[in-house]
Amino acid sequence: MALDAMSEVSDEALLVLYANGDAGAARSLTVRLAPRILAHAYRLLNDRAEAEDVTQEALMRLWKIAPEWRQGEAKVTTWLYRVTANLCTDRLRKVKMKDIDDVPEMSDGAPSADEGLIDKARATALNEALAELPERQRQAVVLRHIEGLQNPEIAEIMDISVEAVESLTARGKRALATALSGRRAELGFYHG
Amino acid sequence: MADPRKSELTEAELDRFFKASDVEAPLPSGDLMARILSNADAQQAQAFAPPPPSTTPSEARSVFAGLKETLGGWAGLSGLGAAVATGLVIGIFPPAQLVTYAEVLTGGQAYFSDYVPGDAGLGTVTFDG
Repeated sequence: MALDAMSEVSDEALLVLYANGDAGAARSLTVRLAPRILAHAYRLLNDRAEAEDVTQEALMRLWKIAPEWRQGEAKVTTWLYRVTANLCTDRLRKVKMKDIDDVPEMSDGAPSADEGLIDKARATALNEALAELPERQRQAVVLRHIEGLQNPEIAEIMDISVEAVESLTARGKRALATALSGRRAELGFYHG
Repeated sequence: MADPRKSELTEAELDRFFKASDVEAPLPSGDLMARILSNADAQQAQAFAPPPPSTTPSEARSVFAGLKETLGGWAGLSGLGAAVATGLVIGIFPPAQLVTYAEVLTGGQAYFSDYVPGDAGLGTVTFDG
């Protein structure tokens, strides 16, 4: 059974339904959007609890703005990504992020053959490396290469030009490639 | 010769990190979903709640208070009372008695000109002297 019973209805139409009093619309939007917002916040903050708070707050703002939402002006996801990024930025400025030295080190032993464990280790390593990037680079890389958004939408979310997005993602990727290069062996990459 | 283990990751290797991050994305807990939906329901209920009454019954003005304010206070009400009493007198007294009444009031001679003969009593009272 599909969790999202209104899968054919657009986010924007669901938001209008919600504003008109449809209780089911809020459930569909939550099922559809909460996982994306939580994942995005988590990648920007590298902190699960903080990411949950941001997700709740971002969606609370969506519920509040629903009666004033004007269809056709912006995508709900674009608006939400922007709000989420702003909330994350606020938290990053207020709360000193954990130093990378405080993050448990990956085991130096041979990587497990279990692909699930390798994926987990790679995801953790990537999050650690992302946390070291400047905020804007991190946001652009996450939106482009993990969330899979196109550059024009990222430009709209970040309120910058498409060229600036390309520049940020290119620099971000280079920095990540350098940061992660030393962990090839422990993360299941073999040479020779 | 450079150690290949220390060289920068290739594009393909980096893509595998991104894919792993996507696979390992955290999922919202049931508690988080419940909190979000609770917020949604509360916000919706607030939006559809009937507006509070603008005044309480004790603050509601009476018809009399409104009339008094419209007419300019007690002075206006007194004028209205006098006009009502005059109208009552004219309505009660027939024309002949109205002449007598006018003479008593003015101390002179008064005549009644009847424009519509009969019982209607439509005419004017003229004073002489």
